[in-house]
Amino acid sequence: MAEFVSAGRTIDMKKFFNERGLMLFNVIFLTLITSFAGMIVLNGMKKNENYNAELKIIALYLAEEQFAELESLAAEGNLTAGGKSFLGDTDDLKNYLYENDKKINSQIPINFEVDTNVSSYSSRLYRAEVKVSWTFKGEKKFVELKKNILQKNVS
Amino acid sequence: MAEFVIALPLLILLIYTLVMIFLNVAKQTEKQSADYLLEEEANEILERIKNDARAATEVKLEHDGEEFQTVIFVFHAIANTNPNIYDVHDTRNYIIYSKNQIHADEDGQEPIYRVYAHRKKNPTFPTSPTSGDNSFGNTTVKKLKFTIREKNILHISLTLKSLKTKRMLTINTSVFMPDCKKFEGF
Repeated sequence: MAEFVSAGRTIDMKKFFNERGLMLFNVIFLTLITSFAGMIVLNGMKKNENYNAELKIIALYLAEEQFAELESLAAEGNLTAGGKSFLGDTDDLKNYLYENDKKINSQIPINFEVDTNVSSYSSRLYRAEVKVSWTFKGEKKFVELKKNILQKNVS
Repeated sequence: MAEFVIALPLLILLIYTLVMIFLNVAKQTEKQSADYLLEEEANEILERIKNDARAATEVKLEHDGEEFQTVIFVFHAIANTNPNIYDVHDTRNYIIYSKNQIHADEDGQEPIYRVYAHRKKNPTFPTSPTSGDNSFGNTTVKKLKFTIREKNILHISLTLKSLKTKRMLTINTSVFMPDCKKFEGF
């Protein structure tokens, strides 16, 4: 094997690839691999914070709010089939994600959209489908809830 | 001998990296479970209030302050002790209270507030671990407000704060109260 010149020093390649040299080589590679794996894991951790779980529970309760309004309409005999806008408090459609990490207090506004469709199931029974959607970090997510609502017999 | 001189620091670096990874994973797990706890506790409190509100025949509100309100539900209860009395009213209060506990950290101090469910007829009625005595909660209530929208709808707004991660969660919801006849204090 030829002699290898690097940084003014000559490295004998025969010596480099003998048993002791190979062990050194192994340790260097292991360290590199571990640190790379570590960097990947640590980098992935920050992105792993699952805010969507928090947003989902807010969305579920927004759907409950819409159901409460629809039930109230049904109790008076005023529920009709067709699409509906959000009947609850419209201030509730805007919520905030509070992040408090390393003394940085930031509020990220999140807008929720509520789509409601009420279909007539039988003469008095209605089926309401409420879909609550939101966008977070460019990702659009939604929850969809369905409920049968009995209209009060007004006669 | 020469290879050990180079290999030993590298080995130390390797072990250090591994330890750092494990510490970070543990820290992240703690943070994530604090978030789950926050969500679960908010869910528990709202679910209990919703269940009581649906059964309520009377609802009373006591203004305690700008942030907190105490709500009292009166509902029919089954008289299992005396079968001759069939119409029994029971009340349940949701009280915000501070157990004179103060949470202190580098940002300062703040009192810890909890939601306490109290049933009159049966004071030993087990309260939930989350909303009752809050035994596993590292959370504090920042806001709990009730308003009546038209047509028997009780609007609830709850803000919980995690003391571990300092994150806040605000949930707004409404509940329809079909049998409620009497509204006081709204």
